[in-house]
Amino acid sequence: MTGAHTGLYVYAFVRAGRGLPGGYTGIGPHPAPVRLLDRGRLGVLVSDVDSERLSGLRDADVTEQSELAVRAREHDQVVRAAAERGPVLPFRFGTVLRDDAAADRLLAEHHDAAMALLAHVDGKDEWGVRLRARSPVGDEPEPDRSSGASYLASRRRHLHDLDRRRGRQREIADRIQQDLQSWAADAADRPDRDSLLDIAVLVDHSAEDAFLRHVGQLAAQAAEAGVLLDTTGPWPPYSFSHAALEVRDG
Amino acid sequence: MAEPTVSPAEVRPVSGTSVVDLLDRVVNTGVVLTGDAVISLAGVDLIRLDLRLLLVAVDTAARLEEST
Repeated sequence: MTGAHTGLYVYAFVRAGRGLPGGYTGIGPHPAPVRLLDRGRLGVLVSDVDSERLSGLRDADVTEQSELAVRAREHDQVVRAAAERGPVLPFRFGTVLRDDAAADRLLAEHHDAAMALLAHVDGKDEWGVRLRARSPVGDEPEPDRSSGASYLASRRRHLHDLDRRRGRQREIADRIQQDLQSWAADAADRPDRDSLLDIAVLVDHSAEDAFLRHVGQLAAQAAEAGVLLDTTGPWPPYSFSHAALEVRDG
Repeated sequence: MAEPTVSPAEVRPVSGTSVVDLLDRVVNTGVVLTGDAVISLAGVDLIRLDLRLLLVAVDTAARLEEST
């Protein structure tokens, strides 16, 4: 895979020496082996890519079979394999450096910052917790149509009930958010996706069972208020890998 | 770490491996590199993708609710 469009796809920072065993390949329709580049105590997992070959993603639709989904899973699989061998700090999907020399400058210039972030996520997984209000479909009582005044009164009562219901749901979402924030090693609000709460929490491996039991109790409390709680995970610490690092040409 | 698993029975199970959840993470989070040694991956319009994910997520939420 040589040519004008060859680049170096970067998956994640790892600790030095924590490469993947032979046989792991990276992203792309003709994937190259995943390699580890080391500098000091820091490493980065990379593979050679032909960036032109990944260009069919422009109009990819978001389905399981789309090229985008396939590439994202390849990215995720490398990150997960690395996470089995030590802490990882994933890069955003689609990050390509010019060459090995650029990766070496990345390692040299951001060594201490990356090591600190790796230490923060060491021994922990990310879990997603999401709350959604169950929409009150079919809840509306048949309005009292015996007179104009009683009709308006029953409508008003219904809107008042909806208001109270929303207030209760907001309350329980806030309470669960505080609870999770105090419980987890770290928590990151995720961009709101039309839900009452969308939060990522960082949980120590040793606390995983207790965490899931706890979330189960929260789900039962939420259900009483007409709120659906769902969880995803374990994830590599994607939501806890926030840093913007500069890499200049040498 | 294994593939994402569905949580224990007491937690409302959800498609932990759904492509929307995955893309939401790999596209919107992670360490960002800037500078002239970074080649942008041809064709990935992340802002448009983010918008599309938002639409799909809302749609998924609606379907999830219908099925309960």
